[in-house]
Amino acid sequence: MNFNMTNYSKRKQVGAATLLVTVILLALITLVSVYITKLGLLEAKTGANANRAKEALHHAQAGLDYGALMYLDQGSSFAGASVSVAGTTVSINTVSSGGFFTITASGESIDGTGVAQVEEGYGRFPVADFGKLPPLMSNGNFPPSGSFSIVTNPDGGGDGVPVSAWVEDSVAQGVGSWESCNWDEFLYQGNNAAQTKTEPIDGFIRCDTCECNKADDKLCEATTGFDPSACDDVVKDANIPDVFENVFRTKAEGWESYRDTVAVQDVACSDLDENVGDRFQSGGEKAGQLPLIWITGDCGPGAGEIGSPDAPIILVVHGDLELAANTVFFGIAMSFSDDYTEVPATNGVDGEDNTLKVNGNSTVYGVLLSNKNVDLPNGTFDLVYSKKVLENLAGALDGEEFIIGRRSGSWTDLN
Amino acid sequence: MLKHQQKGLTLIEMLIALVLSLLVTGMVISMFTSSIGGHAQAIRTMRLNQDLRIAMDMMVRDIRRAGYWAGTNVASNPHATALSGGLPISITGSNCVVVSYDLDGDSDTSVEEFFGYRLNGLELETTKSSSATGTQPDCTGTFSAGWEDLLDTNTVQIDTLTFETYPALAASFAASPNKTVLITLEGTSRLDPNIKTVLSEEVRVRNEF
Repeated sequence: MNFNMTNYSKRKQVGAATLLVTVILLALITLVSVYITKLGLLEAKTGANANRAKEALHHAQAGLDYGALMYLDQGSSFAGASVSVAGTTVSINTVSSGGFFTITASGESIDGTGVAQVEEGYGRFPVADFGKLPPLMSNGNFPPSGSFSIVTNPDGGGDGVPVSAWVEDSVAQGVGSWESCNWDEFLYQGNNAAQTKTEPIDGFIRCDTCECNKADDKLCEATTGFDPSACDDVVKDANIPDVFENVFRTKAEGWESYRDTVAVQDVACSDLDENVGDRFQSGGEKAGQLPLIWITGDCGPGAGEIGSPDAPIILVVHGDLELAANTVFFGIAMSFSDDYTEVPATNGVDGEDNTLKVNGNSTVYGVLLSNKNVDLPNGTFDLVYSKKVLENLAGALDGEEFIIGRRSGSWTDLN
Repeated sequence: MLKHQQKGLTLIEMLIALVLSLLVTGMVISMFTSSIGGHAQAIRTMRLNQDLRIAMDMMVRDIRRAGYWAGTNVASNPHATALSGGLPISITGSNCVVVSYDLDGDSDTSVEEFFGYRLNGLELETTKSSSATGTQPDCTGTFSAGWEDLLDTNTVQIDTLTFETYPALAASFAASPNKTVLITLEGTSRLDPNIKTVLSEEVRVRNEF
């Protein structure tokens, strides 16, 4: 029995060494594994933290965007709100000062541990501003020839400073005989006194046959070889603002989204007639909207009346716009060229080059715009700045249509 | 009897016991080494990931808030045109970005500092340089001229750092109303060249000019 015991005991001792080594190594592995697991957890926590920070930031940004929309809708009477974003609460605070409306939004991550705050300033404006428009504005040449009349905007350059045209460039006239004059001279002076006029309707008098040429006093009178910018009421300005931006108060690069948001696009060129503006008037299907009709492609409506003094339109043609002879247009007509997104402008060579052309014996009561060149006719043509027509354009809005703009450089997550 | 009892194991018994012990010990040791190796790899991967993530986060935040100025008169914002190209953000050669913003929010009408990130060789370098000299950090400048390593050069090697601007269709990045930068950051662990990580993130420059 003893023999067996001793023998067994020695065998056991050999195994003990192995066991010892194994146990030590396994213990080490366990320790290392625990350490690594901890590191792994830390890594997971760091990653999740970064994620929560992003969640919080996006929730705060969503709150900011919501606040901006409420500001657009309600103006500065919007006093802030608490909104729910993805199950979290975003608090929006507002401060109105210095003509700007600053919105601050604080958001949390879904589990509430991440917090972010973003802030941005906004301004709110009517969708379009027609008050200071001259009768003719283009990012191109003053028409180099033609015989036409321009009735000036008496306050185009500030109160009492008449502006008939605001152009990027002007060249000396070849054979040109055009005149600019004031509204009274256009209607009543000289031979104009004998011309047929409509009865005044709400301050608007229509006279398709009056001409500055027939008046005794003219603001400016061109002769052969005459540089239009020699006239005080023709402003030649190499740094003229972009026409589109000046009228619609939006970045020209964003014209597509402006078009899709604000303009009516279901009117065909052939539908342009004297009743085209009625749908924007009270009782019409688009009542209260800016009467902005956007036509894509060249457009040459037939002779006749387009719009009316009571229901004028803003016609933007993304293409060549040609008003036929004997057309009477009420409102703002613009030929739009996309220099901004379609073809990259390189070396001053721009993408599209669409022209605004008006043929003889036509009258425009309102404003002609082009962000390229304007081609006026050799026949007699009247461009009559009519304050009343422009007021009626804006009047259709009832002061209800606004856009908001971000105050550049005001977005921050630092506070 | 006692003598007989102390006789010990036979050689065969001894050998079998030793071989068995060796086998067991060897298995445990190989488990140990492979486990340690695996863990080392895991640590290096985590380290690389964390380093790259931190670097990416810093770049994203700086680019996002480029152009911020606490003042009220938009026209006086010195950051709007602080950099070449007339923007608060300037990208040179697709792997160097410099931005400018009002860090302390004191509405100072002069630019107080510029922030830059660039790939120089295989290192990610950063700068927060004072504009006392009135010049923006030079993307081709030497290491000593204000640039310093952002990450541990012993452990992380940066293979790719690119800043791509969107939208590509606009006339130019400067003219685009929505400026977006796509950052791609690719790194390798210097401790184990088999460990690589690629991060890419799109960031909208919130302050438009």
